[in-house]
Amino acid sequence: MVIEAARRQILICSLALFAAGCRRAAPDLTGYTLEEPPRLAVAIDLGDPAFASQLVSGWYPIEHNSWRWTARTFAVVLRPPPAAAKRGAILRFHFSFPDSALSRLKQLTLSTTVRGTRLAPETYRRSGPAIYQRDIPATLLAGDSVRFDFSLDKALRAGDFDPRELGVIANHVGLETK
Amino acid sequence: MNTPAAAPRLVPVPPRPSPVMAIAGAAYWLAAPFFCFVLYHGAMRSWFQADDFAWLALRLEVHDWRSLMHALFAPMAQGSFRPLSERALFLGLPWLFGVSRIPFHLCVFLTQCANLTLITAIIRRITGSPAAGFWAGMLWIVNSGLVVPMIWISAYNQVLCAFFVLGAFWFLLRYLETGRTRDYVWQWVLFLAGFGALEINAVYPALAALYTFLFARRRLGAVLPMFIPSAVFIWLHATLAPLPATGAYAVHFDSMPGTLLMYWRWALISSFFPLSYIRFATPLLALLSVALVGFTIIRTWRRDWLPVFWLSWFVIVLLPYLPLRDHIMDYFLPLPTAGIAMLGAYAVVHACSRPLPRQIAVAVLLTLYVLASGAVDLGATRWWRDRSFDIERMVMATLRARQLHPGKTILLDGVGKQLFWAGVFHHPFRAFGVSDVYLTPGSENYIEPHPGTGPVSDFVLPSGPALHAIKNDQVVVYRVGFPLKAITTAYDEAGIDKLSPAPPRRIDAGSPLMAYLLGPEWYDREEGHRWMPKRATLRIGGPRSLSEKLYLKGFLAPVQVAQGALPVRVTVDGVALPEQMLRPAGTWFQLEFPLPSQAVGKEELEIAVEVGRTFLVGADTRPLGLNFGIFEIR
Repeated sequence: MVIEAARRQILICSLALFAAGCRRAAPDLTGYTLEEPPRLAVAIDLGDPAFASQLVSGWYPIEHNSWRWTARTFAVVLRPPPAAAKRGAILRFHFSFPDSALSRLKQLTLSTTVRGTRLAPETYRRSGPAIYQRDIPATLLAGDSVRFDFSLDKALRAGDFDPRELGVIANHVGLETK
Repeated sequence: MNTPAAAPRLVPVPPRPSPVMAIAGAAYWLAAPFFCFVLYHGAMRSWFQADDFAWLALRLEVHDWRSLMHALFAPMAQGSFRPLSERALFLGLPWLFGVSRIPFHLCVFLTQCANLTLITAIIRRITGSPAAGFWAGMLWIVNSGLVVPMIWISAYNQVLCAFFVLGAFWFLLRYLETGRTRDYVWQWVLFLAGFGALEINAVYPALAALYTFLFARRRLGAVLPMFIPSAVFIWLHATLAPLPATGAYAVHFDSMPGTLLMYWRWALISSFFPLSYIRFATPLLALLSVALVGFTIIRTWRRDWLPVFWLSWFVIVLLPYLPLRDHIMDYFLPLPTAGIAMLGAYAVVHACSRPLPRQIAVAVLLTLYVLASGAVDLGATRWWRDRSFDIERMVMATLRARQLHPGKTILLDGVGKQLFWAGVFHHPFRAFGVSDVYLTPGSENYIEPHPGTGPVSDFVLPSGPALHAIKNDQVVVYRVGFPLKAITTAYDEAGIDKLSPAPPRRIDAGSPLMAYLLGPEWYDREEGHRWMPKRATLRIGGPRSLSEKLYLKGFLAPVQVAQGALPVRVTVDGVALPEQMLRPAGTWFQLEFPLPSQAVGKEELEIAVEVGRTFLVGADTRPLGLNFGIFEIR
């Protein structure tokens, strides 16, 4: 009797497990989180296509999955970091010049305008990695987005090396709370 | 060639049971499983919790046959060795069916149905009373000691071990009756398989020997060899996982009587009994104790040894747990309470042939026990299930957050003690392939500490790295609840003023959020760890007192110490600490350094670590020093 009962249970067990055994598709997790409205990024890796919507003008396509050439003038929109409207923030733009470009241009001066205010320009005379870094006063950082217009005093003309007008090789641009 | 005709079979064919009898027979055997379903159908819907996540994560460590063998058989968690009830279960079912709770709960439920069938069959065979079989199954399934194993998958080891012990005992009974070798062999097979389920299987020979001694002494010799595997298993266990001298798993032989009484109380009136009903619980416990012990004494006086055997069953099966004074768990009770259930069933059936007043008294007691236990079982099941739902929602929402923010660290705010100790503490996110999830700074202030279990702070992102991450837009913050609510903007705005930039006293070199504290010498992180070259530096929060020390923890490749011990030199703000030597000892190392007195009270220290020699691996041209790991001052 017990053997019979055990046999029945093994059969039921096997059927139940096989019934449960259809592998389920990955669960739909929509609705598990309540998200904030989409926010702009505070900082942008210029080799990441996810941030392309914040690049307003003067940017060429990503190269080697890590950087972009700029034109002579270029613009980007960034979100002010937390508390920037009270404390201000630091703008950091990481870029580089190739040797070949600087030997032709001798030097480059980069300047930036934020909401009509021109930040101090900086002149670069050596090739390789460089940083343009400026303090941004709190008064310029109100709201959810700030546009930065960058301008170089000169650029490689279209046809010198490339059919495009080339400014600098841009890697990263972002704001950081002071 | 003609073959001789087979001789006609003269075996009598048993009469076919009438349909009514067949239905009654089926109802008899299905009654206890059905009642089990009624009581525990809520358990079938519960999700994973607590240790389940550690076992679920085991599958992520299996990459080849060697790692599979390690995952199946290497002693883990307090040296436990349970390849069938834990390793195979948590490796096999997700492999077959994906990570779903349903196959796990089906396994538990069906195994328990088998157990109920076995206990019914055992007492029916011993007493010859179908009614005793019926009541044994009913009294056992209603016992609150079964609540946790029925709902918490990690406690399946108790259910599976009960199956092997009851199965072996069932075959012992058959063997004692018939003397058939087949039954004797099956008993051995189930007994040996039981070692793959749970350590307490080692007590089976004591149960078998006691029963045989009391009721079939001439066969005692056939049972005694079973003590050999038990002794070998106990010796191996003690050798591979020596008992700790302190902590929850330290043994205290002097407190065994008190521990036994606690288990007795829980076996009769449940550890879940609501405090508001304690006035009702204590008299019920007293009545049940007097009835069971009194019945046992009276029957023993009349040379009926069955009650004393079942009472001994309870004590024998609990024996391995009794020295664990600080680890008294209700989920240890399924197999011990099988003895109590059989004793109770025997007493109930015995009362049926007694005078009416005694019958009424037993019926009242039985009703009180079943109603009280059933109500407590349903309440406890609901509590465990609801808690698992909270954990499920948190984990699933965190998976969703990872889908939406793949490159960012996730901070969870508002995690309470229950969600932490039954969920976060067991790394549930890792079990589902999600890393870089922390609690917001200060969460440790809202979670009740359990020093014996582990520090809450290991799961909290310290203030300095949190501030740095907020400034660099590296985190998304969620408030725990359903749904998980993103509060990144508000948290960032408040956090920037509230959080201290001081470096923490615990630095995880493999965390991207702590990379800003590391010097430029370090190599890129690799799956939660990071190599340094010959020398590397980092910043860390200073000690609060001279008693605190610096701990370095990391991974050690055998090739690093193949030429002998590896010297490690550490300086703290330029002050050299005593040199230490790394020697071959497993796959990880931990070094401990005293700190100079001038370091006490400093907000920040610069640590420099240097190794005596580096090594190269394959085509990697980087000179490799040490692989970290954690730096901690505590």
